[in-house]
Amino acid sequence: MNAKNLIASVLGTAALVLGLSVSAQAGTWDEMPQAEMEQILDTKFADGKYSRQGADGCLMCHRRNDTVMALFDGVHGRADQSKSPMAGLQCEACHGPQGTHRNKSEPMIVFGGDAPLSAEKQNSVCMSCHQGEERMAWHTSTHNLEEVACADCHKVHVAQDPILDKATEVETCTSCHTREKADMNKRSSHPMQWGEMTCTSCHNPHGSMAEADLISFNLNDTCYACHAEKRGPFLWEHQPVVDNCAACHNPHGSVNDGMLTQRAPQLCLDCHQGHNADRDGTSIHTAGQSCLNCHTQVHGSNHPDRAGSKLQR
Amino acid sequence: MKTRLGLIALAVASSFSGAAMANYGLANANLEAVDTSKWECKRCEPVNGYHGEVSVGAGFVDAQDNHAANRLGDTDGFAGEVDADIRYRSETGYQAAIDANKLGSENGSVRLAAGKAGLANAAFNYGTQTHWKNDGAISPFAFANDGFALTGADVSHDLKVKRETYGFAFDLGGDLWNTYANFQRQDKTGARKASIYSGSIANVAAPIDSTTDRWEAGAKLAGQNWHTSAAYVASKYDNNLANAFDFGYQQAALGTAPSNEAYHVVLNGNYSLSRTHFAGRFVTGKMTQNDDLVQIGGLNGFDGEVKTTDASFRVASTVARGLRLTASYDYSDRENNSHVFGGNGISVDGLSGDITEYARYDITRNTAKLGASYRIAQGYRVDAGYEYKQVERSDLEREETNDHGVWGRLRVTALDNWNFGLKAGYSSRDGSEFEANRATSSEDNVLLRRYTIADRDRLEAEFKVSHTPLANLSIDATVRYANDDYSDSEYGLIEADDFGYDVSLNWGASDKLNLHAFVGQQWIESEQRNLFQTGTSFDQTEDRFLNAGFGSVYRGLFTDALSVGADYLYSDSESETSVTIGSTGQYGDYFATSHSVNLFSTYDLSEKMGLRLDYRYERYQDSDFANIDNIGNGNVVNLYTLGNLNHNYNAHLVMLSFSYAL
Repeated sequence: MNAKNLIASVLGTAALVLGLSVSAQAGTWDEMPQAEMEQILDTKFADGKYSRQGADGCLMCHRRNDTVMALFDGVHGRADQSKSPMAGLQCEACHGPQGTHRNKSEPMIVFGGDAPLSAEKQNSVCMSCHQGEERMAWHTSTHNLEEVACADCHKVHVAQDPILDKATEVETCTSCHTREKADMNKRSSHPMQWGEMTCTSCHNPHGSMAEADLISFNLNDTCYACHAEKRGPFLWEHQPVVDNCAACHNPHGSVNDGMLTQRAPQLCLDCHQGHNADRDGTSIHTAGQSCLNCHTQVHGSNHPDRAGSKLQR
Repeated sequence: MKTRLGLIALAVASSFSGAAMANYGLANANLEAVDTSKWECKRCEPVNGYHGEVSVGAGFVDAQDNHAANRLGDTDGFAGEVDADIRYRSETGYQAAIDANKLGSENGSVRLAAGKAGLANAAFNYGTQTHWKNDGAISPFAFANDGFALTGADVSHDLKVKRETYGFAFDLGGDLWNTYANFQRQDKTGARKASIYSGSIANVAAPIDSTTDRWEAGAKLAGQNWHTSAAYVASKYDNNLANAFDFGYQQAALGTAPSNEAYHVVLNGNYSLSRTHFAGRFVTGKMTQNDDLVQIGGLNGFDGEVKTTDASFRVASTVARGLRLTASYDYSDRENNSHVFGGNGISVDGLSGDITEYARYDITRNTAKLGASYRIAQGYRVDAGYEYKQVERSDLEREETNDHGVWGRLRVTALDNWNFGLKAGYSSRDGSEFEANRATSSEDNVLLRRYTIADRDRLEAEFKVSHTPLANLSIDATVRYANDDYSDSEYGLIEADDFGYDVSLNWGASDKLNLHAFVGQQWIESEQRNLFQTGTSFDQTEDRFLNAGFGSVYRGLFTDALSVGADYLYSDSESETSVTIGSTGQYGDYFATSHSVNLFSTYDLSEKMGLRLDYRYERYQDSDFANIDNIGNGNVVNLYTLGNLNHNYNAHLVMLSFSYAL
């Protein structure tokens, strides 16, 4: 397989490529090295030299920027809500004390993927208000460990954050999660086309106490939210079903029907062998519903007879 | 030991160290010199009243196959929908919102919300989802009066599932405390593909009619660096159908999913000590099922009850500049306490009283993870981790498995216009001795090693690169490889490989023109060795997937009033299985191919009003060798299929939408 060899070669030589070193960024404010920028902001934050006029002083210069003024379209621009930054330290609640920024001699705290400030420090601003159960596992979440900044996904200076809109959420997530973006277009996948389901139907992007940052207690319970008919407990259980739905299904999509990791009979043969081997593609073991022609209740049976114990009724 | 204690001491000491402070949160702000007496916010311009946008769309779908609705949103004929994003804000802080997404289509939803942050909020939601499998499943059997009967003629059935969901949510409270309650109901109707085994085999379209309710209520307490909460969650599944369907004269030939319930109590808490963060959760509950069994012999009764316990603990700490450590422990226990009552035709153990065929599956998991992330220098970071997972399973031929895994990664962001990431991991699973004859079917092969519990070595690698040669041009590429080696399995799954790549390009050619393109491929290969009554076989399966597309949008025609755009997506899923029993044979075609096109244009009629015209084209074709015609057409003996369920269609949608900005 040429492609396989090519991929192995790419992965095998990648470490060598990473050994290259290039001079660090240098220059003025916008291109200031991150360490230098953080040092200035640390000192500035500790000094606490807040402005005399609050937002009025900031807006003397920045009101001509539509993005800045769009803050007032959303909840972060409300002074009438106690939790809003505008009800407290206003612009400086998020961007830090003004210091000598007004004469352009000091930077302010800035946000986003291109900002010369670590994700951890950017996020410390947001996390000081946005705590609670939904973000209780943020610090061990995948996104935090990947150094994703809140502003990489969220927008504050807008009327409505696009990622909170079902119609645009998936697009935001799949800009990084490219494998899952592709999986959505396989032969079978969950319905993500119109926002019927979104990534947050199953995952908490801010981290959770379950594996894969799932929203429920564990993987199977996440599935039961929409597939409660498979919860049981059944009289006759199928062990892998109660063990782990992902033993047979890939919830992100599959080239097989039913999001199965393999199709029957191959999937079933991984654990059950002994039947006759008449598998030419059109036998009773492969045609129609394959093994499920007879073993009709692979998720469990409540039928009291012996056929039920074989998941046949 | 000394080294380990030293690290812990270092972590604790650093947590208390002021030098470790890197938090720009309000709680750490130096407010000694703040004087807000002149902060009037005269230049602030909060928007009160209504604002947002509502749009109404009307159009037409031309599709000869209802399967197209999965991609176009509606079936053949008129298509209408309402989208809305309307917000109301009062000067006193109260607000309300309406979010509608394709409301009126087969896959639409709406959410209404009102309240005041930090005081009280209420919300209501409604939505429908329809997923089409096939609109032409052919069977001589039809469902009526809780049973399937031979009609003597081929009857066409729709295989589709419609979900209708609605619910509400309330919360009350402020910064310190908050209580909440919510309810969701999902009604599911339609028909699914099923099969009845009764001498001959009949694939049938079995009805679906069920209701699932979910209630949750809880309370939360929060401080500046801590939070705790408690919740009660209940779920109830009601199958509105009989507990079994008859098949001609045969009673209870096909069981249905039993109604069931689940209850959970959840306790959460987290606490931050400087740059060390702790989080924990404890969940206990049970799943029950007390549906009456059909009285047709066999067991007389069943009280199903499974008790579950989940506990998790996480800690993350930035112990020094650039060094972060994480640790977690998870415990999960499933204890099956169900009771069965003996009857006819089922063997009962004279000593224990247990039903010999009956297995209560208990599962206990212990998972521990350690991780470290260290910034070597500006733009260079290494991550590493170790994971251990122990699983105990009852009534299987292997009762315990142990997984050990390590992984590492190097991330480089220091290079001009280049970012790299290389990750590799290795894990190994072994466990207790196999007791091949225990609890396995007499039809099973005792030399078989089930892949979920077999010894396995797993190797994974991923390389990511991102290049920005121009400020407005970015190229991202990822290559992945994974190998599962079941080296100790003589029969069963022996080896599996998964490798692939994806590349994407984004180019903001100008302020008005944006272009993007992407392509990706994936190959999943697996090998099996199977032992049958009549011999052995060696099976190889290769799953292939190709996905590619491009899109562009041009804004700025007619003095910036007109925008035009196009998106194209191609996907091709294919699976090929070869079976070697002496000579090598192959199953038939199994693929799905689609071309999706969306041409769109928006035009601003005025500052508040706009038009959008969409044309969507869907070319879809799939094939499954298992979809063969019925016995009446002389194919597989003793098997009634649902006919040819393959798809092959062209579908079109034209929709004109009018939008109005409030």
